[in-house]
Amino acid sequence: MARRMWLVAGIGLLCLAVILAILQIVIARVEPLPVYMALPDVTLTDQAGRAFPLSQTRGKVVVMGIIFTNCPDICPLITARMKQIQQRVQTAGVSNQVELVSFSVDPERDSPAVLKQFGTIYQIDWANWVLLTGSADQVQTLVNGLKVYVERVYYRDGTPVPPSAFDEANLKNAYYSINHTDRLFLIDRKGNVRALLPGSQTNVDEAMPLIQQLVRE
Amino acid sequence: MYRVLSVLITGLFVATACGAPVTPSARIRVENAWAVPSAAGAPSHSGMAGGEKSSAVYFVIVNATNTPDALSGATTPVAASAELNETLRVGDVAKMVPVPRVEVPAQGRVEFKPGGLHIMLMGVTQELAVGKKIAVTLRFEKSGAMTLDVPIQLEKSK
Repeated sequence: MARRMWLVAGIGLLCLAVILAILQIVIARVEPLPVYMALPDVTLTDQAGRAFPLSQTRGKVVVMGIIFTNCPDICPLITARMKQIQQRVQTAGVSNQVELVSFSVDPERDSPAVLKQFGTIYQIDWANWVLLTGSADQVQTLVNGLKVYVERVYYRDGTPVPPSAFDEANLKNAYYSINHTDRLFLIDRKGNVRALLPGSQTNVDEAMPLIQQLVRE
Repeated sequence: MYRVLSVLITGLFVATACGAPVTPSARIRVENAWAVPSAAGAPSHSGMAGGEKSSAVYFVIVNATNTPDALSGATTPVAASAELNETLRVGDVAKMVPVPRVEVPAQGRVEFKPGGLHIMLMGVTQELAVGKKIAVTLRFEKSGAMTLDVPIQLEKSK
């Protein structure tokens, strides 16, 4: 009787070992994600006013999103998706390996203090999330490097008008919104963009396996 | 017995002919309204009262009547301007375009939601913090004005 028990246990262990070996082969065969572009090496400024070289994120997987704080519709949605990702990353126990970065495409109005206020209003958890701004040139370097579309749209009395509708003095004070690329970038530990997600429409369930894959690399 | 029945039937016809009171469900109604938070604007920056700060208001319009209607405008005391807008996705670029009016078909519904139709508040004059409520008046072509008590939220209620 005892002999039969040992035999059954032995066969069970053997089956388990075979299953684990197959799983390891399947995981190893996951296709590597493509490299779309390299994250430009530019120094921006964070919400606390500190210099933030993007090279500082090397060694971590980065989830990068585009915002401007006066954006009424899309940016709150992008921020909401990033909050969900942050929570899922925390649940997966890899918060110390993943950094969330939102950069403003409106550096003229989005000072570090304005970004900090935005973070407070949107209840951002700063543990592994940074909001960045910079000079117009610095932000433009990042925008160009990531092939981001940015278009300023001026309004008068609630209606879009061309910039030529204002004289130089009034143009400086005119209300404007910004049309921009709605995208999240997944960046690997070496600073390469490896996945492009549809920003405000990102499905977090589909994003998480990609993030996990980059964490495992 | 026949006399009682005939009185009841006659009474029913009279009530119908006089126009029985319209139940609340048989009109245009607006449900699940909410708006995104915003800091208070600085008037000196843009020359517009409330400065450059923005918010967006979302809701669902339910038209339980047999007549089509249309939303043609909105106002709020907390912003210099409230405009009907729609975010369109062109490739992977999000663009906002003004919408002059939004048709609400008879027995139909229209949803204003993030990434789609919304009321854009431009020149927000006071801080719209989560938990606060703001008054927003919607103007319908047939049903007239309707004022909502809109809560400020980070996302749509689940």
